[in-house]
Amino acid sequence: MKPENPDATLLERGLAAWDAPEPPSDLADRILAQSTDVLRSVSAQRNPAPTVPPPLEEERPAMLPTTIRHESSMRPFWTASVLGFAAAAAIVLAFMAGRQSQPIPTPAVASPAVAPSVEVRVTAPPPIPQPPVPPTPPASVAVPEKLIIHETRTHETRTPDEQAPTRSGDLENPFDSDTGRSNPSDASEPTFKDPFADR
Amino acid sequence: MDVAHARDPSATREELDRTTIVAASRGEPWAARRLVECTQRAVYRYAWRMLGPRATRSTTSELVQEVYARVFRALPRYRTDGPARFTTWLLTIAHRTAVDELRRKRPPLSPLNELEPARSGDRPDRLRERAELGERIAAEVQKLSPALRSAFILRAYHDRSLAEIAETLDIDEGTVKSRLHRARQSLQAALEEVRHEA
Repeated sequence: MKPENPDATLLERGLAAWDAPEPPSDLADRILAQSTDVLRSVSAQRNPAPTVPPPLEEERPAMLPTTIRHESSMRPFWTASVLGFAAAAAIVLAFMAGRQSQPIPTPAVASPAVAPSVEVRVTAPPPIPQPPVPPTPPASVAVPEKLIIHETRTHETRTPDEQAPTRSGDLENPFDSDTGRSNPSDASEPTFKDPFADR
Repeated sequence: MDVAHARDPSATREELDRTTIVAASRGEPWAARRLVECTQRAVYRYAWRMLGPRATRSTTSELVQEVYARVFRALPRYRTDGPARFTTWLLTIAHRTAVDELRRKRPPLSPLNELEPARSGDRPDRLRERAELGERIAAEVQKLSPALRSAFILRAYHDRSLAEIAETLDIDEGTVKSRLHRARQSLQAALEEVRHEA
C-alpha cells in the first residue's frame, strides 16, 4: 500500500481551508445595471430600430409647419413620377434590345441601277523643286573685317571765337538785363514802381 | 500529486445553453440576467483568489462588473459552435481583467477579515487551525507569479483540464504542466516549513 504523503495531505487541507466569499446578493443587479448601455448598443447593432410609421393626420399637432404637410403630400407624386420614368426607360431599353437582336431586313427589290462610272484619274503631284544647296564656305575664307561705323556730324563746326554753350546751371536769366555780370549780387536792383503808391 | 481533486466543491461547471448565449449576444435582458446569475459565482471567486491581498468585496465586485462589461461587448463574437466552452471563454476574460487589475499596483488590503464566519458545527480549535492553514496557503499562493497562480487556481478550484487551462491562459499544455509543477513545489516547500515550525 502506498503510504500517504503528509505534505500532500497538508496541501489538500490548506487548499480546502482557503475560502473565498460568496458574491454579494445584489451583484447581478449591479452588473446588469452597469452593462445596460453595452446591452443596448449590442441590441441596436443586431436589431436595428423599427421604423415608426408616421402619425395619422388627425393625430398630428395643429402647429406643424405647412412645409412638412406639403412634403408628405407630395411624396406619392414623386414616387409615382420616379416609378413612371423607370418604367418608360425599361420599355425603351427593351425595345432597343429587341431591335438589336433582330436581323436587319434587307429590301427585296433589285439593286439600284449602277450609276455611270466616273473615271477619276489620280496623277502624282509634280516634284517639289529642291532648293539649291548653298555652297559650303571653304575653310580658308578670311574672317570679314569688323565693321566700323563712322559717325558723321551734320551740324556746323564752331569757330574758335564762338563761346561754348553754358551748362544748364548757368543759363541766362531772361529777366536779367545785365547778362554779362559774374556775380548776381552785384547787379543793380530793378526799380519797382508801386502802382498803388499814388493812392 | 494532482490538486484537481482538492478543488472547491462549490465550484460550478454549469454550462449555459446555446439559446441563452445567443439571446444574450443579441442584448436580450432576460438572457443577460440568466448568464450572469449562472456564472457570477465562479467569476467572483476566481477574481477574489487572483487579487489576493487586494481582494475586498468592493474591489472584487468592481472587477467582476468589469469582467461582464467586457463579456457583453465581446459576446457577439463568441461562436457557440466553436471548440471553446463558454465558461472557459468567460474565465479567459476574467483572467485578463484580473491581470490588468494586478498591474495597477494598488496597495494591498486585508481580505481575510471579510470572510464569512466559519461553519458553527466545527470545534473552535479546528476552526482556528483551519483558518490559519487557509491564511498560510493564501499567502503562499499570492507569492506565486500571476502566471503560476492563475494556472494553479484554475486547476485546484475551477476543475479545469490542462487543455482548458492552456486555452484560458493562451499557452500550450506543456507550459501548463510546468507551471502547475512549479506551483506545487513552491507550496509544498512552504508547508514543509509550517510543519517544522509546528
